[in-house]
Amino acid sequence: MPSLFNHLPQYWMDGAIRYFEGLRNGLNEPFPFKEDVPPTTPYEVIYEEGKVRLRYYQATATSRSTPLLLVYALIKRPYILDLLPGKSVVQNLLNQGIDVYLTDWIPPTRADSWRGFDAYVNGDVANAVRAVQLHAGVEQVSLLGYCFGGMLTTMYTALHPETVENLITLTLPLDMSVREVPLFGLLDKLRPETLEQITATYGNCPAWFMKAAFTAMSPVHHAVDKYMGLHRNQDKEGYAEMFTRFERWMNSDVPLAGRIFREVTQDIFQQNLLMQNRLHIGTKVADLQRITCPVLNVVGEYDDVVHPKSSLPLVTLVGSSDAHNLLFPTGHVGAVVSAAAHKKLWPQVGQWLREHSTQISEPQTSWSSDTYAH
Amino acid sequence: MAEQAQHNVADLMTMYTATFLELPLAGTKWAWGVGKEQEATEAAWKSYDAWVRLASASTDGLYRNSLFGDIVARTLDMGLRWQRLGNAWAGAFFGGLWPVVGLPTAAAVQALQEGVQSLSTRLAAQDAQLQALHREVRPLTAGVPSQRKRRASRTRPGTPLQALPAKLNGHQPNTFSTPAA
Repeated sequence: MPSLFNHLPQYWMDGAIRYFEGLRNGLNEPFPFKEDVPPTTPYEVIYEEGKVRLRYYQATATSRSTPLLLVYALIKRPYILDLLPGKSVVQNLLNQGIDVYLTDWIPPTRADSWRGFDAYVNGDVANAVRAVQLHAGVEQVSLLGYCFGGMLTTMYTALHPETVENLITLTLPLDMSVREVPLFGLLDKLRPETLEQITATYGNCPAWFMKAAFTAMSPVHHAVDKYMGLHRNQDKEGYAEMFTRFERWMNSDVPLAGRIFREVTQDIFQQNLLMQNRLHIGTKVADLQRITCPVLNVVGEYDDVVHPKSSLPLVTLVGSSDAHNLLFPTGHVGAVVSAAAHKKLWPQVGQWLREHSTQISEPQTSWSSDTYAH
Repeated sequence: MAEQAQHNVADLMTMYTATFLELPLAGTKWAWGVGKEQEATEAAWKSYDAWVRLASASTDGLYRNSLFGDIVARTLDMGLRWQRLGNAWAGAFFGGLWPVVGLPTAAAVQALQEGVQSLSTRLAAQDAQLQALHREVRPLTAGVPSQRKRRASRTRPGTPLQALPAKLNGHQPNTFSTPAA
């Protein structure tokens, strides 16, 4: 017990340094990528246009599946999916013989405040899918979207179903009428004028605003409990390293483009339009009934960011006859970093992907980025 | 709601008994040498865990309170208006001053940054293509003897050509690998 009082001030101070360093990164334009933790798995950047940079990770085992495009959220940096050896979703899938492509979203600058769902879904995600099609030499790709990325992949599949062979959503926020997460109740109070004020003042939704929202979800945990957890588990092998990397990710907040921030808050959180098939993206409506490919909806049973009740309805709303929920006893981030998830969940996801893959092709050696719509 | 209230009461009782009964008792036994330190530590953690659950439940209750939501929304709105007013005021008074003293505006610096970023991205891509071409051409020209006399270098003797830096303004090269262990 006395060692607790020796350690706690140091833990708090380190936490404060990480917090303010994260805040500084979020204020910079353009965002400093060099602050990312070093990658666990080697990759190659095969495409960059708009606000998406596409990474390619080659399968370590013989490829036995349609290539998978992993669409990360527009919030925070994507290295949580490749955090440490043995705790990397990317590595787990590569070891199962699945070629992985990952969207590394380029944080928006003030000049990108016009970007909404249309720019991200019909522009960047569509171009990323096209890049995978050309690079892997396939007609359709499998999509996996995490959290906000799950929302983007669901919208994309509803709008462009012909290019998607399989859809996997991981902790998808869909039914926003669910108010089990207490903080979401505050979002109802944000008036359109307040949202306009935020984007008029900063151009985009600033990173500090996102950081404040995430911290407010569990203030006791962020102020005290995580440091107590570090103290209690300091003797566990690898815990301190995991804690440090995880904390760096927690502080890797990036701004959210002004328009998409307004659309998410008003159209998704407040009016729940995607769930009701009433969300207009560009000139079309994102109709979930148009999703006819196999769907696997992975839900964290103890998710305190996206409540399971918010994710579960997807399988009943899509037009696919092969749509299943996979409920796993984990939290929102535990689904991608916990030992249990890497031991049990991701092998199941990989197996499902292999079973539902029909296209296997050798990657093309020559490839040009000029093929994309700007 | 009733279930949550039951949990809160249970946590409150746990915290109370652990803090005011179990912890002093275990501490006294440890001090007299008849108990172990572990007992006192366990009682302290039990009390702490109950406190964390109670504190989290309290903040959740606060977020569910409509009045709190209204206050947060209004404060945010007013704060943002003041910030915009401050920005507008500073812009109006000092905006014209920067060019006079020869300093660029924030917008000009930002535009320049974006230009440099775009250029460095293109440069990295061109560099990668050039390297690939070099690799293809090298084996083809290996056996061919030079037909022309070497031209005199246009650079001054003794001045080595500087290689373009691989990293520019925080940009990284195109291929990434795991760091050496």
